[in-house]
Amino acid sequence: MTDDVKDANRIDSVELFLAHALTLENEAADGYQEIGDSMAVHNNPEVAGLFLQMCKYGRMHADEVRELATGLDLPHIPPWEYSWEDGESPESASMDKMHYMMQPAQALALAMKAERQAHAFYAGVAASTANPRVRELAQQFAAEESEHVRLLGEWIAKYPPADDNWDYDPDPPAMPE
Amino acid sequence: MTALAQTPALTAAAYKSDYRPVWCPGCGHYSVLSSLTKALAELGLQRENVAVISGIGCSSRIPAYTSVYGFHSVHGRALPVATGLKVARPDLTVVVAGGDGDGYSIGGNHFLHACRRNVDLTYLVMDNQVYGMTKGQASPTTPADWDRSKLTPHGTGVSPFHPLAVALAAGANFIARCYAGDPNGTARVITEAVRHPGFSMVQILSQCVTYQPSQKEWKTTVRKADVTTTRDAVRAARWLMADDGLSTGVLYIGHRPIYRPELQASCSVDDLESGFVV
Repeated sequence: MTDDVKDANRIDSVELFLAHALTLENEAADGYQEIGDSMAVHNNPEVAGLFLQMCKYGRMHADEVRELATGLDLPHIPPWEYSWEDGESPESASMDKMHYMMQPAQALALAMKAERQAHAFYAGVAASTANPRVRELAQQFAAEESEHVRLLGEWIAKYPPADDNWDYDPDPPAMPE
Repeated sequence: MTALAQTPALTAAAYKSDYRPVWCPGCGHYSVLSSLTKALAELGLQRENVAVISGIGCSSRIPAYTSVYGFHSVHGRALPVATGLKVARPDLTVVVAGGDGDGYSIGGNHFLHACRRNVDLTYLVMDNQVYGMTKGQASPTTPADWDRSKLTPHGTGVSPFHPLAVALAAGANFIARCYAGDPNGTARVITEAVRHPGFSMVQILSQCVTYQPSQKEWKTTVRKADVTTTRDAVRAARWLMADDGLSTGVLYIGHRPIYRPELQASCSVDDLESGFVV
């Protein structure tokens, strides 16, 4: 990221920061819910359960941010004008990496990536803001995301890595006629 | 950053229904649904004032996944249904959604004339270059050398349809291409398309991970168009004909008058009935 871009994306008000945090947590939860539902529809209940659990945590974090924003007038920001580095909310697990036969270790690895991106966002805000209260909040949120990364690491360790032929389906949907 | 005086009344989530999509995990249509609901929230539209009309195909399931009015209509006939709705109820915001097979093949003629009529509609075509619902046959936008289907084992041998160039030639008033891998950018374009009067054509490159897995590469090959939006149809045509189909952005904004039929009754029911009296 260049200095110019960093400055353009700098977040210097508590309201603006919490607006970003609220959207980040909401979109993370919505994304996990969508993936969990999708896995449930495609008969992968174990992975569905993991994502729906992540969704539950995401909703709790969104509630915490909402609580912090009580009494503040958060700005309305069109989705495409948030200060996300690549245009999309950083904690959104990428749907294009999903597969209906994916295994828990793979699902958790994707969640881990999303949590790391969220940590990077908050750490970036903390490093660049000129507002001490925003810095304090961003550091707090970054620390929470670090904790999520640690917990996910422990979670991942409980699952074996995906099998070599994890996506082998004896009756696949991909059967062009 | 725009701080609007009035926050939208509904969040994007409020425009989603409780039905869980049955699209394959990894399908681009999930992102399009997200973009559409974000756009509706941004437009601040009340749900009862919006209708999403579709044809048949994977992407045409989208009305069921929204909480606005919807009509999952007949294969290739989303545009005539939507046209009828819009001319009868011009107060509604009508969004038409479907895929490349539905819109350009069986619905191809309706596509031409919807562009030509310029009724105030927004047409979202989720283009994955394949018929996915029927298990992977070549569609009008499938590359000529695509040989993954048993129906076309040596490729289609036919040049792909060029939807945006055709839309421009037929008279569409707003022409854009988006990518499902850029949901917020797509939400912006949908918002602009709905706001622009007349027939707005939005092609959305939406990957089919099951039958066109190579479209995962779009993540690296799709890029922003290297031109600014033009109001000059000749310039837009030159650019479109030289484009490889992977550039995104609002490419053309026209200024043709929109079609609004006379809604005042020209005669009474009694007058009509009198003509049938024997």
